[in-house]
Amino acid sequence: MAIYRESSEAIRNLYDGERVHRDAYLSTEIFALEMERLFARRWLYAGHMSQVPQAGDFITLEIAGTTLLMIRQADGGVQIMANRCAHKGAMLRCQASGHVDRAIQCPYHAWSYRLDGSLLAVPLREGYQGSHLATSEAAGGLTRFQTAVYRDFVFVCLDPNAAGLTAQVPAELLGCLDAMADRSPLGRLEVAGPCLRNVIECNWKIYLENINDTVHANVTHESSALSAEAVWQRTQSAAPSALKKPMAIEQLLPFSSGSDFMEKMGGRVWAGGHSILGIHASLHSDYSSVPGYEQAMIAAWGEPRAKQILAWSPQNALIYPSIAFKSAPQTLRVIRPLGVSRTLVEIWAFRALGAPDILLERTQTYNRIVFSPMSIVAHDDVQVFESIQRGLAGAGNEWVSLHRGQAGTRAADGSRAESESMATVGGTDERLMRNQYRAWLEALVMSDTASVESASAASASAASASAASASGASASGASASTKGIPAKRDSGDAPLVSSAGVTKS
Amino acid sequence: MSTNTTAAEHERQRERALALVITEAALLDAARWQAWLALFAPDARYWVPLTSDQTDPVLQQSLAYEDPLLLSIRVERMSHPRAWSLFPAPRAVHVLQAPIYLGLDPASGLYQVDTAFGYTEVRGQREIQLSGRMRHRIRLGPIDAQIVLKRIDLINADAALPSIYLPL
Ligand code: FES
Ligand SMILES: [Fe+2]
Repeated sequence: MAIYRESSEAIRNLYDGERVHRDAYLSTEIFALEMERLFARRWLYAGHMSQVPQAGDFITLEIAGTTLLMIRQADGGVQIMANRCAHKGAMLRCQASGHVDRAIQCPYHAWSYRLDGSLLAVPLREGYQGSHLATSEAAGGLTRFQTAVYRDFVFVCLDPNAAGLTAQVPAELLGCLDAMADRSPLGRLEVAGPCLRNVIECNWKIYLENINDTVHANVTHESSALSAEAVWQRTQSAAPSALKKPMAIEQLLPFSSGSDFMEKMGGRVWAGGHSILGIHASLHSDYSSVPGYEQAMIAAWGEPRAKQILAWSPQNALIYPSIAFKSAPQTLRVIRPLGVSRTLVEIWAFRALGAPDILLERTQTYNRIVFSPMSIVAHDDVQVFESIQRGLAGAGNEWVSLHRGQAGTRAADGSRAESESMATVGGTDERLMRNQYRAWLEALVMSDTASVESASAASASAASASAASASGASASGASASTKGIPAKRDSGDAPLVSSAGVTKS
Repeated sequence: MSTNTTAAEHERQRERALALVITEAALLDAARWQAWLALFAPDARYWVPLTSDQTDPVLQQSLAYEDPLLLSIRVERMSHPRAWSLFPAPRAVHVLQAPIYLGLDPASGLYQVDTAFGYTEVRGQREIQLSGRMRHRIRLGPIDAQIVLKRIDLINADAALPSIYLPL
């Protein structure tokens, strides 16, 4: 029975500004609406240009139930299209990646398509005489979706009417992508090998809330942090001389940081569900410096910008609803909902070209010991997420509490002050999660087919970063020097990046 | 006479290498973590690559790549009272195919054993099945035998995997 599809009010009742009703996590109807009204209308992560270096190179992916091909074009651009033959729907390619010369041919009846998805040839053409093939959808070839490239990160939006990437994603979040790319003295990143993939039996929003959850760290991960500490202390006392802290120890010990540190990390939220956690510090702040790297960065970017990039290591930047990334390590997680209680997390690592290998080694080490299906740190997260999914289904309390940190966000008249487009919060504030539900509600209650457009980002350049206008690194290269995070990050509500917006090519 | 001694010596090495592989699986299945850890040499690596042809464990990603320090942390946590994902305690069984003894690798001085295996892990009502091939590289001292490398190639290492709570 469709309760929610027919009633915006029923959907509104799922979130009251402080609490989320369990149906948000349990209802298959809500999940279907999320796919249609949120995931299909938002700019989502597709891949990276370095995965398809040559014209004709492709990767396959699946987003919100749609199987896609991302193909490098002859002109150097990239296009994302449905991986679904215009004839009868066969998938054109099923492997994760590959290459086609000039045209892609269907394995079923040999219809073939140009790299841009347009129909090239249909065999036995004379048989179509007198038919309406030429005016049917089949003649249009593969369905092409909006594709945008920012600093070689490739995004896709399934909604042809949605506003461009830069209209949906605040400039400050794109600035965080700049900060990752600019960790390379050459300003370029490259995907480092296949990604880790973890399937978790929980609703995707449970994972997403946790991206901004600092309070759980020293509770959930106590056993990992304390075991690392115990082993490291024994190792040190057995050693005749002082040992250098191994990379894994450097990465594991901060998980026991107290709530005071977590609160001071600070965070910032934007309308549209986006956020940055760790604007002042993070668990990554104290990684040791790399000899020679700072000089290379100064030579490449000049001292002020180099220092800015090196000092910037947020815990998580979140492009709602599904991209969570860091800067150092160069890690990007993609949250791909598979079902109402099944979520795939992809964990990607990037090599900063021209930077010492140790940066990549750090990234791979961190991803492995914190995010891998075999990670003892991830184990304790995953078991909690899966237990939440079971716990919520039970009788009794039907609500998830997100009350924390409400005091600072009430306006003088007692009304909620969560309507502003950007706000700075403490690192343990659950507004970091409430902000996600505000955007969630906005997306789901839209009953018409109008595109989702975040109020805040509209102030940035509203120009669409469509396939035609986004030409990879060149589009952003020009803006790299003017964007990014100002050194003065502790100044109250000052924006993280200049509001100049994103320069268009 | 000396030929016989050599043949007997080879047979003895083969037996010791094979015994180590079987003992290791038995210790894992018995959850005897400290005894399991003690089988690894100080320079050992425990490696579960993401791709079967992977040669670089450092700059390419793996499901696991652990030295004795990280393995010790893993084992240390097994007895931590608040290692939440160990309640209920996961249990596992390895089913080994007859291990294949590949003899001494002269370059490394290590003895080589390759073993196809099936692995079942349960935790509460949850059960996962994995299988693949494990490769042991073994150092045989006068008395003790040590694992220098245990590389596990899962047949579905490139799949999206659920949590694997215990060492394979
Ligand atoms: S389904 Fe592709 S050619 Fe028939
Ligand atoms: Fe966690």
